[in-house]
Amino acid sequence: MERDLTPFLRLLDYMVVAAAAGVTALLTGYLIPSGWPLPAGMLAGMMLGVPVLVAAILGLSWIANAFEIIMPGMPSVMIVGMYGGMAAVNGNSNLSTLLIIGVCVGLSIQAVFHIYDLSLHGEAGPVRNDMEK
Amino acid sequence: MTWKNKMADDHVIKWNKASKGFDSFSRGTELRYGKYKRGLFAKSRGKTLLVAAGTGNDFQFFPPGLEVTAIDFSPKMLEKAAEKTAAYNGAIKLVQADVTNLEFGDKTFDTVVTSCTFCSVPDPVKGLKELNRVLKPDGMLLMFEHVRPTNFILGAMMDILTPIVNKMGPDLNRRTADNIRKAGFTITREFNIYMDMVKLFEAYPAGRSDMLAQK
Repeated sequence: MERDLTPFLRLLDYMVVAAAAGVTALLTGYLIPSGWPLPAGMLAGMMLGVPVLVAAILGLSWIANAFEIIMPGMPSVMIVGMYGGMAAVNGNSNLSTLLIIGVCVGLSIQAVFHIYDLSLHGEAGPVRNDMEK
Repeated sequence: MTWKNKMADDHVIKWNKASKGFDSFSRGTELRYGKYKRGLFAKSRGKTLLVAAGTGNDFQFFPPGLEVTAIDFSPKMLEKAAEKTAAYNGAIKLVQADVTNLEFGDKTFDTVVTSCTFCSVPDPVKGLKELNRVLKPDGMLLMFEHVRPTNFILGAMMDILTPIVNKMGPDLNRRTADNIRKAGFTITREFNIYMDMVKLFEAYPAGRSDMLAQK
């Protein structure tokens, strides 16, 4: 009988997305200078999140699955990156604050996806014939 | 091996390259979804065709005693799969083949099993039609696949990511249920594993009145 690793893996999902969002927030604080135009800061912040997420997926593929990271992770790092970029260009790049916000956003978005997953998990019947639409 | 000259095909080249890190990259998937695959694969019976064998990670999920023909169009993947056939308590024959152009006769197999296959087949409907051809009329199609989510935003996200991801891996936005039906199958079961994105399908060749009567 296979050992049910579901609770551990669920916890891992939360930790990974929170960490990815937190790291994204820190990177925006470190790397985006104040004084940039706001749209540039937002875009730069969003772009910083993408390699963070890719690194998480590739680095943790031996234990985590890509979908459970990328689905909540992508909106998390995008939102956190955008916020962090905006904060940085306005000179409000307190790293502790950004980190806390990043982690909280990551955990919240993962929770939303977790609830959505629970609502859909299981038999998807009755079987529909989409061709009849 | 019987293989026509398709080695220049970009898809074969892509998956040959992917074979190097495939086991490592797949381990998380097997940890998470192994129990679902085992439950699905347990429904296999008789002569079984496994499509897109990859490096053979799915052999462990088959019940013992089957006669399995495992195909893949990547020779590098099959080289790695060959190392895992001995651990299976049954017969596994590896064949280099393209699912869109199978060399098996009509109505050969009792069961066809796929595992994250039709996210990668260049012409999925053609491939599924071939499976319909080689499946016996009372045969079963068992599929573990990832598909495009129905949610508008999540589906759009997969549409945006697919052109990037499929340079080194699968498409993320396949409408596999539609493809299964277009190929002439009747889906009798869909099970959502992760959202409505990672799913199990069970299907029969369309027109099986005995199956419909049991339902």
